[in-house]
Amino acid sequence: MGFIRELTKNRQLYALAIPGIIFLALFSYIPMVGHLIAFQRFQPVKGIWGSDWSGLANFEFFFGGQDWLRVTFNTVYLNALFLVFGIGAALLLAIFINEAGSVLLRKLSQSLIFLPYFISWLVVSLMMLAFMSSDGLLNDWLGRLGLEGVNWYQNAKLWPFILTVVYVWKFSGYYSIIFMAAIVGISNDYYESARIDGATRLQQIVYITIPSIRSVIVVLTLLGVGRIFFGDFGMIYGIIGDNSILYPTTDVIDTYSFRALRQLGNFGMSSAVVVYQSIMGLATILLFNRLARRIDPDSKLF
Amino acid sequence: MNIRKGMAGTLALLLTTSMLAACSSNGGTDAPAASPGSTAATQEGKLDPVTLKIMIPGDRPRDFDAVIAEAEKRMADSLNVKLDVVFVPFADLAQKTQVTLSSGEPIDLIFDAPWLHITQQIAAGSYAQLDDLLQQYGPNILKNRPQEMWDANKFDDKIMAIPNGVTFVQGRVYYVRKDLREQLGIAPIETYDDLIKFAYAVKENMPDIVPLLPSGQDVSKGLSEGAYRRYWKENVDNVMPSPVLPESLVLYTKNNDGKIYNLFEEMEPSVWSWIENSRKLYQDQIISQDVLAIKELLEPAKQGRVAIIPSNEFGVGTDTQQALKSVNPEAEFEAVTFMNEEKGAILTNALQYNFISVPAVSKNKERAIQFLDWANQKENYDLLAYGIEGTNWEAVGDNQYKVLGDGYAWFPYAWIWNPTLDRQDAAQDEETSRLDAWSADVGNFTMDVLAGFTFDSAPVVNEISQYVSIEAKYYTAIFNGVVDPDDYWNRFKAEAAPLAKKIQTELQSQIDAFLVSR
Amino acid sequence: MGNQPQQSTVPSPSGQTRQSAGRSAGESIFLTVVYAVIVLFGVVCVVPFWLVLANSFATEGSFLANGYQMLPEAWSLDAYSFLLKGKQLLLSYRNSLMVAVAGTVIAVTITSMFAYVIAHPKVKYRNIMAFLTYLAMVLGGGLVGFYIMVANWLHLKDSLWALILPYVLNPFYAFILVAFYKSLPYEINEAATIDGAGDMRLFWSIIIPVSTPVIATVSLFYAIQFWNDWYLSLLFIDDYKLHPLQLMIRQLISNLNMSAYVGGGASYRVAAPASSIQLATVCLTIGPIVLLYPFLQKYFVKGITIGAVKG
Repeated sequence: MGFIRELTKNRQLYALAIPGIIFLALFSYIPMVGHLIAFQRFQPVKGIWGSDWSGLANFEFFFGGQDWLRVTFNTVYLNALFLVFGIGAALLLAIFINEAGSVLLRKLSQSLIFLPYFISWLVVSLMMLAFMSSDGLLNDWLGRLGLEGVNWYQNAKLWPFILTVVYVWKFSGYYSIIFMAAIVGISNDYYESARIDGATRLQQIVYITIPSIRSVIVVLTLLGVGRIFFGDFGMIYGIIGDNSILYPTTDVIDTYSFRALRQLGNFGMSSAVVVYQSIMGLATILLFNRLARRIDPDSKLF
Repeated sequence: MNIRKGMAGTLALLLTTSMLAACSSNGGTDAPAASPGSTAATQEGKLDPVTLKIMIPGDRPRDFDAVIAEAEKRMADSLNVKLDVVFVPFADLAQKTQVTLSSGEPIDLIFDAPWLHITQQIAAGSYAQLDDLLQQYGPNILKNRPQEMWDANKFDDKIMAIPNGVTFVQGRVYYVRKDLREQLGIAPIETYDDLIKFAYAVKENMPDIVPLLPSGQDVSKGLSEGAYRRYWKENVDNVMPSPVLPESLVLYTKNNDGKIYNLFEEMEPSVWSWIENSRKLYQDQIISQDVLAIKELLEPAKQGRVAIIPSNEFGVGTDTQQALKSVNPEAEFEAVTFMNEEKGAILTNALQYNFISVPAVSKNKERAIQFLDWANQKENYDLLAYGIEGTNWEAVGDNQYKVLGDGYAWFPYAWIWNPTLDRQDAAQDEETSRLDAWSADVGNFTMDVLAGFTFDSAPVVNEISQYVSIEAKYYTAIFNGVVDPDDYWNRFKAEAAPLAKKIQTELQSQIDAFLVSR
Repeated sequence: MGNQPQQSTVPSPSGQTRQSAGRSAGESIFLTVVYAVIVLFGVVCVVPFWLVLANSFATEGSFLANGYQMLPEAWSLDAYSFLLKGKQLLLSYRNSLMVAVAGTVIAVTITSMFAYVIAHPKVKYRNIMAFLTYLAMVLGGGLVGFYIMVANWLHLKDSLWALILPYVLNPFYAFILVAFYKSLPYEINEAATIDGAGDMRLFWSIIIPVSTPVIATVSLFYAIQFWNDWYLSLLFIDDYKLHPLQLMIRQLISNLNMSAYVGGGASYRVAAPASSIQLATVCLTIGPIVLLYPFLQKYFVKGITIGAVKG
């Protein structure tokens, strides 16, 4: 048996993986049995095995309406914006901070850009309201510049942009740490020989730094792509709340199903939405992993 | 070298591991389990020791341990009950209680409410029926609540949960900035027209103040300006939300005739006039332009930036008043109401907002009810509701109290609140006390023919969830006048009318069956 | 390095003098841009945080009247004294610290071992393992199943282990590690094999020391994850003495904002104190993590040894 032989041959290596496999099974895979309630009329007294099967009835509330396409689009669109600009900004920051000569500035800025990560969405939303309400600071500034104020909270078109800015502000410091750790690992030899060849700093970045951490960039992207059908509920609900004027561009799958079900509190129906998101996510990663494999075999995830 | 490092790592791991184990076993002995020592003797009148696990919303008051210790002491020779009270954050109440009930965990008493998931949990069989238990063990619980309250808060004619509430209608008021009104030389506000005149005067003379801020949040859509009008005298037909969507006027009842009406089929002229009025107020910038974005009305109110906000209780909250005064000592809110105080003019379904239930899985059902009965005796109620006398509160007469310090927050609504034992805050003004007493007397209201009706949502569960999510897109925007009512109403109707119709039909047939059975 | 930069694409200079003059001008413009971007972004990050910090010390009246100010008009410790009253805050701090320390140590150990196997070219089933790990992240968790597993099967209710074990293998961090391991020169493995060392010993004595920057990064992330989590404790910890900081604060804040959650238009008398409490909680929770970061920073430099190993 090739399987047994492989296990014995690399037994030391597989042994290293055992704890991880156990935890994955216990806390990820076995609980997935719970998704069966998406296909049931789940009744707690009867349990998962005793409840009646209901086929796809729990999916009807979501797909029966006209909004599921829009919220699916919003989820993917917003997540794509977050992913592209989030990773882009993080990469830029990591590279720039690495280029900065002064050690003090480097360390200080590393710490400072990390701060927004810790400000809770509740506080973020309060500050945003103070900043962008119709009589807020921003309109005050615009007014002083002789410009007309904008009704920010009534203009749905602006919000993909605003949310992206907030996302970049909050998370790019966090992600840039990963890139910084990667950049630090690049051998100095490359830079030295490039410098001898007369390469400018910009050229060094483009031809050494970025290619060297390419696999990290690709991995982060693929990891983000895998979750692209899951909206960031804490963020979107924290900032947008129940402001229906902004739903056309900001309502994501998670906020939508939260609102639809908050009166009913039906586990079967909320599970159905998660099953939908999972299946779509699975399809996407299969596609993207194939793409990654074609473009750069080293960077594929599996 | 490196191997030694690895060893050190393992050691650290082991250390923290044992540290944790030590700690959690520590916690274990403090936590429920069985209380040691008292197992031996079962004297006369003293029952076997039992720990009741009770799950209610809120935040654990600082002096709660002392209160519980006192309660356990008082019960030691009789009920012999220990209390393990779990407080759940309001934000997570639905999820936490639902998952706890779903997993069949042994809880002995749990909070639920119509705005949470009480009908769903009852339908799912999560709660025990209480009629017999209350007859046997709960005389005080029964006695403290008027019969009308019991009758109206049954589920399919069975008592499935104990109602905790003191009034038959909620107080509805506007907070009005008294100081601004006086500055503008306007007489005390008596009618809605007065209120609007005041709002326009504020707009004209005080550019920094938002005249009127209703609620734009979906969860409190009843406080949207257009919808709030239904509470006032001018609503002579008693237009009220239907039992299925308790805050929405789209499906509604009127004149107490047991029929469900549907705004999509025929627009109710009064409702439309409220909507149009809101639109005008919004366009005239009387209603805050950010009404949909503001989550907490009290924030800008405390900041002194608004002149009028709606509120769901008679009187002005002391904390709001204090906060406002801390910003501007001159500023002051007064509460005005336009409710119809004529006897019998207002309908009540007597449905309470808070309940406590005994889960079906509880092994201590009798004890749970016995404990609540104990807590429904005056001195024990005072202890659990207001804390230790002398430390947390002091009695003012027989039915008033004064708060001392901030060690014990007020939360009887979560488990024991009732009209017989409730004390009024002594700091309250006379008018508020009068209105509170008025709303607590069932004789002042006409009983809704649908009182005691519970809707079984199972047949239209998809329609309801779809409808709710569509309504959330339009309702507060339309009823606060943020959008053009004609255009948006048509869009709303196009999307939601077929769903509303299905819900209406199902609701009407359940109501007809209910009325026949009466 | 797994990905050799292609040196040939770097244009070689011609006309040495002109180039070097142009370069230094170009260089300084470039550096100016670099500094400008860093400083600008730094300010954008610091100012809101400063507003949170400063106004957490404002009196309620001053905050309500003036909103967020760089320097509040009137200072007070009201928010902090409200939070610090009673023993709960200390208890919660202790719980959070214990969970974060133990959790991080366990999680980093398990994840780094696991990721190494996935990254190792000798392992035949690495792709299947990687796929299953990734899949666990892509498939949303089933709440009911998860709850029953932890509470009813593993009996972790009211144990701090319930806050640790479910999070010890985060696929996201595992893949960050995988990406780094993959970028290590393969010769490390070969050298060790010739040496006669087993895979385990190789992992502990060579791979781990060489990967300090990424291990430091992942440790930081795990520490933050354990520190910031309230969800597991909401589900599994009923005993308030074991509540971690984040749950304690969530409970407090959501009680202040109760009217936002209570439907049906009920509004009860909540003695709502300072709005600045919301800001103060941010400052209180961030403390230990802010201290952790500079400590880990020094490991970001040591990783240069990778190059040395290769050379």
